[in-house]
Amino acid sequence: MVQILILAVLTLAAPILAGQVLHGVLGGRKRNAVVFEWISGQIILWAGFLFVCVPMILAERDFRDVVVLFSGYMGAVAIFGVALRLRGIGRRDASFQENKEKDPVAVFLWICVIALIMVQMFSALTLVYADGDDAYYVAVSVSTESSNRMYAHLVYTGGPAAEMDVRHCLAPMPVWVAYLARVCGIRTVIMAKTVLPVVLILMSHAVYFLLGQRLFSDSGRKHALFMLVIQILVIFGGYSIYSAQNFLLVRTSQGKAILANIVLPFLLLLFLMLAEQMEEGKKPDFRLWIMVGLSMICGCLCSTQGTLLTCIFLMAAGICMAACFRRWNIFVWTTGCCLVPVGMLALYFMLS
Amino acid sequence: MRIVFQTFENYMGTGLVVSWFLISAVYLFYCEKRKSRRIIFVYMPLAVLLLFFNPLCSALFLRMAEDEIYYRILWLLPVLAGIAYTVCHIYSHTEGKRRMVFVFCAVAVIAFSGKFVYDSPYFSKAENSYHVPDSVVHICDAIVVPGREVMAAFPLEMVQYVRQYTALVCMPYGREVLTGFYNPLQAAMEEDTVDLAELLPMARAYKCHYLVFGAEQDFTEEPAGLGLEVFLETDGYTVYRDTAIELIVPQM
Repeated sequence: MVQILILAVLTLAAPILAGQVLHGVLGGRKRNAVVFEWISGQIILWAGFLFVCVPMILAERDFRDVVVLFSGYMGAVAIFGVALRLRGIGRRDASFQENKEKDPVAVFLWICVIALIMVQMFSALTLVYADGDDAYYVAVSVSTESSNRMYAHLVYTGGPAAEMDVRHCLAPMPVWVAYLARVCGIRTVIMAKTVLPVVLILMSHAVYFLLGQRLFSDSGRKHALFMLVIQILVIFGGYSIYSAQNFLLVRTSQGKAILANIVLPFLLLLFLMLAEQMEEGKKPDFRLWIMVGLSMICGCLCSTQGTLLTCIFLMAAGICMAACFRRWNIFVWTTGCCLVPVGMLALYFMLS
Repeated sequence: MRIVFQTFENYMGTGLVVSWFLISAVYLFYCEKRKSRRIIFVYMPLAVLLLFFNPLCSALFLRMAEDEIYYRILWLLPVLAGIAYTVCHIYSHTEGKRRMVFVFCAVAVIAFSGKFVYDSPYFSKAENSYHVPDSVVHICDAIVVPGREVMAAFPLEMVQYVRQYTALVCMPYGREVLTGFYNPLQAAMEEDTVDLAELLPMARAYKCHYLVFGAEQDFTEEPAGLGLEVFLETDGYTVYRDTAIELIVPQM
């Protein structure tokens, strides 16, 4: 019970507190702002984890140093977020007219959505997917937590590694799983294969919830319908083993699944928000650009290929936005956001 | 370019869901007026597809990464959000009873276009909270020694789970043998009638403390006569301890 409480603090409370630095980004749309703060807070924490973990791996330092440093970072960001929130507490947010009337159709749709999400979470707890890649990623987490060494062993056999596995050690999401296991006191294999998938499935749907809220702020029924269609697409996503939704349900706690189902949809949400602000003739909130940059760093944490994918996304979305709104300074921001991924790519080629 | 089209075909799978997304993008191109939505659901996916099918880009990408992960560029297409947004867009432009009929049809068509994820033969009911087979848990718990690692050779079906369960058990071969790498010890372990004269020198070269065989496997010679003691019989497997390999248990 205590272990689950600690996990709730690490994956729910701490991100929400860290996400307070973005309080007010949603403008007048205060309803469910906590969901946005949760996801953006987690992105801030993941980005920080990359900066803490990669230098430690390259310096061949102990995993316990990562635990101490990242815990310090998490605490500092959470306190900073709360302090910012308290400072701005006197300011009045723009009022937002919420429809108080309950729409029975929307309520029915939301019940269906919640039931389908519960099915996915329950399946993550009770079903096992025989995925060969778990033999790598889960074993890295288990070995890291057990030996206090990161990427120092041959993952499949346990022998000493003659040289560093550069491709994987620059995307150390399995070390974050080991961190959660260590701090919560939950056995690493249970954390990676049973507990964490439940949290990540919820997180992924939270991102789609935010996207739907942004798209249909005027209609709860359409928002619910949007979420229902997402659930159907996810649950019936077995049409290809390569689809992102298939990764969400079968390889949930692997970095590439987090990239495809949390980081990339969150980037889509951020670009939608930026595009809406430009469409309304407003100056884009610089905090959204900072979040884009942090999401790109998360892409690097999830997968080495995430470095390339996030850059391609930014290039495609950036060119479209600049051309549509005739705002060429977008390229300054997109270039800035690409700096860390490009740096990680350069590091990869230098080391490999 | 053949790899690119093959990759797209694999990503499409049965094909209908991705087709619905492409049709959605065309629909939104004509019917969606707001620029912000057109950028996200029409122009940006178009740019991604142009990049994906561009021979220069694909050549560059394939030089930097492996062929088998090229499909991940297609994760940049907002397939889920695009289809869901289009359904809601059409819903808001229909009225009366037709609305509910449309929703019912759309949900049914999407479900029939896809494939139920949990129908996959690779899914099975979890045997325990570790999500690894009980046999692996029982054997590993029996052979691990506090404070040090042990070396054990496992049958092929257990290989990928052992080090997910514990890092204290090392193996002479790992998951790589499942992906086509040949290991003579692993090949000898899998024989119906195990040739111990051939197997034991290899196992001892790896300093294997334990050897795990299926209970139905036979041996060319009596294991006990070669220094193999039965350590454990569980879940249809027999674990032998090779007494020729010293196992010093650290004092804790």
